[in-house]
Order: sequence, then structure tokens, then C-alpha cells
Amino acid sequence: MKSNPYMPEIAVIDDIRQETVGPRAIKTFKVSFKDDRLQKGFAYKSGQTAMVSLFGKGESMFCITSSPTKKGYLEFSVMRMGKVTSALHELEEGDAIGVRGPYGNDFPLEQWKGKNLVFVGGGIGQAPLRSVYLNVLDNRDDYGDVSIIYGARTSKDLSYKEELFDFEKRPDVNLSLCLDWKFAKEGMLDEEAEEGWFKIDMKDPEKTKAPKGTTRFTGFVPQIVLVSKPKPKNTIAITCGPPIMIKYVVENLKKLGFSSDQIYTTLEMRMKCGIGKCGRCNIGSTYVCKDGPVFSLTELEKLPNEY
Amino acid sequence: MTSSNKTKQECYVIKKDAVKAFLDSLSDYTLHAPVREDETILFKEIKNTDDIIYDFSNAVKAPKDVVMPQTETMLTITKGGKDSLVVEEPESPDKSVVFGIRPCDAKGIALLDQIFYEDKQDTYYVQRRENTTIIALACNDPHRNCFCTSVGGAPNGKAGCDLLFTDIGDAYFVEVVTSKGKKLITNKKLFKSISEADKKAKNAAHKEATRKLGDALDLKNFPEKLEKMFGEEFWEKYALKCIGCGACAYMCPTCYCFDINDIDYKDVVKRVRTWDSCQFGNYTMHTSGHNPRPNKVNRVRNRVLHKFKYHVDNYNEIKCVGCGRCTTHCPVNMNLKAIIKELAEKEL
Repeated sequence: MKSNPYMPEIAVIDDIRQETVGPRAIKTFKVSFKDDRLQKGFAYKSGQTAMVSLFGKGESMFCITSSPTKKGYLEFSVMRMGKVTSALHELEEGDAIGVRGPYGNDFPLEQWKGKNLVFVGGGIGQAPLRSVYLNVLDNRDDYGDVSIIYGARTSKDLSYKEELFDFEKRPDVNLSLCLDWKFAKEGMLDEEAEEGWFKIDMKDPEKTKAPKGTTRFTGFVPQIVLVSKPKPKNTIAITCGPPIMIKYVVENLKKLGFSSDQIYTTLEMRMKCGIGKCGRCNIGSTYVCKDGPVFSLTELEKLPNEY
Repeated sequence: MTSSNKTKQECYVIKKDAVKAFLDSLSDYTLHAPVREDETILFKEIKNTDDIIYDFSNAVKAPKDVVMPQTETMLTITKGGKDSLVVEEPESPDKSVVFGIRPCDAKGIALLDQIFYEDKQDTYYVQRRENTTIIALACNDPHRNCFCTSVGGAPNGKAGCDLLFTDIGDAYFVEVVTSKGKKLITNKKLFKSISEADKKAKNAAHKEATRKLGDALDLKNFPEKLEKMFGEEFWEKYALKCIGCGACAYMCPTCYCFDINDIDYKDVVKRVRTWDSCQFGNYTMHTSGHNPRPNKVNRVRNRVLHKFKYHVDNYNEIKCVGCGRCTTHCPVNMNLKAIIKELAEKEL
């Protein structure tokens, strides 16, 4: 059959990183195609997705969390949730999976050259943002200020920990990591690991006066946005995380003066084909698999609220 | 896509008693045609052309499955060792002829083409479609639930047809629609040149069938109107009735949504696709439990809007052929034409 779009190519797992533990653990799989020519030919952009096959279990769509600036491999961060993801978590290095793609649109990084970028992520929502900021940091001179706000429940739930802790040392990245205020309050945090994380004023976050250079906070992600106060001028904000987090992040960004065309997100939908045929990922006449997953808030505001 | 290679209008007549000889001559093809089985009209693969029936309103189900089977194996995966997997595709489909399809159902296939030929072509569909020749039989006795003329169709519509036959008494008037159809006209002893009287008889048959359908609905600005109606409460009224069984989608000649699943036979895995429906709650359900269309009202509205608004946005055509099957087979008597009529006439 010529150029069958449903044909997965065989890829091998080169490395598995345990990002977080627990019932909804996250692992990052580093994979490369068995056929070297396919690996070289797999040209993707930050924001795009790929369909991962675990033969016998099925296929699932994941964002590619690695940056296209790094050649020779792809990375997928997978939370253990359903049939395919749970089975993926059982795999070991050297195991074979299927990959097809890349699919969908990407973040308009070309247009954003010269602009300041603010990344606001929560939980597994950091996965698509990571491809973008790693890409930006590999082309650092093309962009203005880079801020990364990333939150998780506890320090054990932070993904990409070592990478992010390295960013704390970089003068050209403005990092704010945060742990869930609710958990801090209930004393559920690992006291030792969370020692020294700066507690923000949850009632009036804008009044929080953290010492200069503070990178570790306890508080909710939307409130940290108000503490970090990115300036909207010449700035793009990119956010991804649980729907409720996105809702309040957007609200707070608007409070700071961001307009809808300065806010971007990437959507998740149940998908089967990835190429706009199987029908299920539509929001009105837009198909997330091929017209998305990346949308500006201006674009989203025109669509029916079914996502 | 056959609609793109139209030939100059070429017409013939074939005597009714010569049709069997014509169909028998198509031995290189798998033939699908209507047969009667337990009081039901069905399209079936034909072994004996004597089984074919010619006098019927329409088959209970459109022969959509000739180009889009209800279940098909996409890939067969043989597991070797740890990193050894052999992924195989099915063999190419046979060449087939569909005889006796009604123009509404042929148009349904033309509407499927829009989806499956676009962008990244769906190779499974495209191969079947390229190998399928469609001989339609113009409608001269529409069903009570039919409304093709309201949605841009006609009892003698040519969309999706390669040849169009019209019953003119003791013969069929044959219109050659595409070069693919023309290829079947090889025996000029069977296909004879037309007379003025034949032409008149054909036009009279079409006119009479159109008359039987009654007045068409005016859906000119309907898609724009529907957009404004998204948040209206009346969707709730329609949704309350719906039991979410999906019969409408399974009977629909233009519904194309599908699911893909793996069946694990231990050493061999089959990746299978099956028809699906946006009327099922699981259809859009995320693994997390979040569902973008959690209620029947979202799903019923999506089905109507997909057909009369979303598809129009993307392809400039209504994705309904007016065959009325969704209405005929709905267990709770939802009537699509009545809903459309009510919405189209509603004051905003």
C-alpha cells in the first residue's frame, strides 16, 4: 500500500526516565527509529504530536516533549492513566514500539523571535511546553526574556527536576517553581525537600514580596503568575495544564494586561486517526489533531466551548 | 475521485430483459446489488444475478460498506522477539461494481470522498473507492421520509455515480457520468442509441419523482443561523428524547466516524477499525474522565451541527443526503427533517 498514513514505524526505547512516582507516575521515554533514515526524515516542530503504538494495546497520541534542535531521538512524557499508558510504563529499555507522525500545527516560534516568552505549566501539562522552551534556549539570542512558571503538587511530583534545577543557575532564565499551597497547608509536603520554599500570600498574591532571585514557591500556579508579574509588552504567554489551572492562569494574565492574541495553549482530545478522519476531536468545524493542537486564546474564543 | 473526470454526456438505452446479460458480463468484478431477504431489501455480494431485485424504494442500509466496511483489519502485526515486529497491510481490494444504488446513497459516497481523499489520503478507503464503479438507479418512488431535494440532491442526482440508470417502462435510460462508468459500456448490442421519446420518458420520470417529494425546505442561510443557535435551550428538548443508541449514525450514508482498536491474539495482533458514532458518550471521553461532550444535548447538537454547519464550513456542502433512514430507524421517533424544518423556520 503506498504511503499508508496509519502505518507506524518501529522505534526502540533507548532510555526511560522516571519523572514522578505514585499511581499516576510520569515516565519520559527517549526513543529512536530502528531505521536511521526514518529518524533523519522525521522532521517535527515544537508543539506537534505523534501517535505511539503499543501493539496489542493500541495507540495513543502524545505531544513530542523533546526539542527538534536535538537530533537523533524523540521524547514522550507519559502519565500512567489508561490501557496504553499503563502498558507503556511496563516497558523496558530496548523494547520496540510504533510511532507515526508528526501531526498537527506548532507554536509560531518564527513569529515570536525578538519577543519575551512566559511559560506557565502545571503537572503533565509541562510536557508540550518543554519542547518549546528547550528549543528557545537552544536559539537563545533570537528571543527576549524567558520566564518559566511550573507547578506540581509536591516536590516529588515535579517532572524534569534536574533540568529545571539547572535553570535556577542560568541568569537568562527567570524560573518560578511552585508546589501546591493546599498540600503545604495540610502538612502533606516532604518537609525536608520543601524546606525553604517561599510561601506566597494566597489572599493577595500581588503583595507577596519574595527576596530577589527566589525560584521556589508554595502556592497555586495562577497566583504565582501574579507574584512573578510578567509584563505584557512584547510578550507571549504559553500555558498548559489542568483545565481549571488554565482558566485561572488566563484570568490572571488578563489582569496583568495580556490580550487574547498574546496567550497560547495546546489542547488535548481523544484521538484515533490523527489525520482528521475519525471525527472525534472536533470543536465545531475545527479538528484538534490537524488544525491544532496549538491555539491562541483569540482562536479558542471563537470556538464552541466543547473541549 | 470520480467526480473530477466527467465525460461529455453520453446516453444509451438498455432493455430491461438485457440488464441480466449486462451484469453477467461484469465477471471481472465483485457485484453488489439489492436483494430481498426476509422482507428486507439489502445490498449483498451477488453470486447469481437472478437474485437481484429492481422494484424497490430503497435498501434498509446504504451500500456504504463497499467503500467503508463496518469492520476492517488495517494492520496485522506479528511479534518476533523483544524488538522484532513485522507489520503487514491487507491485500489490495477486489474490483467491484455496485448496481442499483439510489442517487442519495451515491451522493453519500461522494461526501465520504471529501473526507478520505483530503490531505493525508486514507489509503484503505481510497483503494476501495478507486476499485469501485457505481451504477445508480434513479428514484421514481421516494420513501415517505425522503427529503433529498431539501439538501441539494435529486431523485436523479449524479454525484458519486459513474452510470445513472432511469426506469422508462420497458427499458432503462443510461447516462454515462464518468469515464470509469463508460468502461462498462462495451457491448453495443445491449446499449442502444437513444430516441427523442426515450429522453422525454426519462425527463418525465424525474419530474414525477421530484413532484412526489413535495416542497423542498429552504436551507439557504441555515448554516449561519445554526451558528447563532448553538447556546439555545431547545437542543435540550431534542436531546431528552434521544437514547444515544447510535442507530442514526449506523444507518447514515454520510456518517464516517470510526474507532481503531488492537485485538491481541498473543503472537499476532490485529489492528481493526470499526464504525463509531458521536452519539456515544465514550466517543470523546478522555482517559482522565474529562468529556468535552458530556451530555446528550452536546452530542445531539453535534450531530445536527456537523451535518448542517461544520461540514458546510469545511467543504461548502450539507453532509446529509435526505435519505431519511435516521428517521425511519430511530427507536424514539426523532425526525431529522422535522427538526431541521423547525429550526430553519424558527425566529431568532
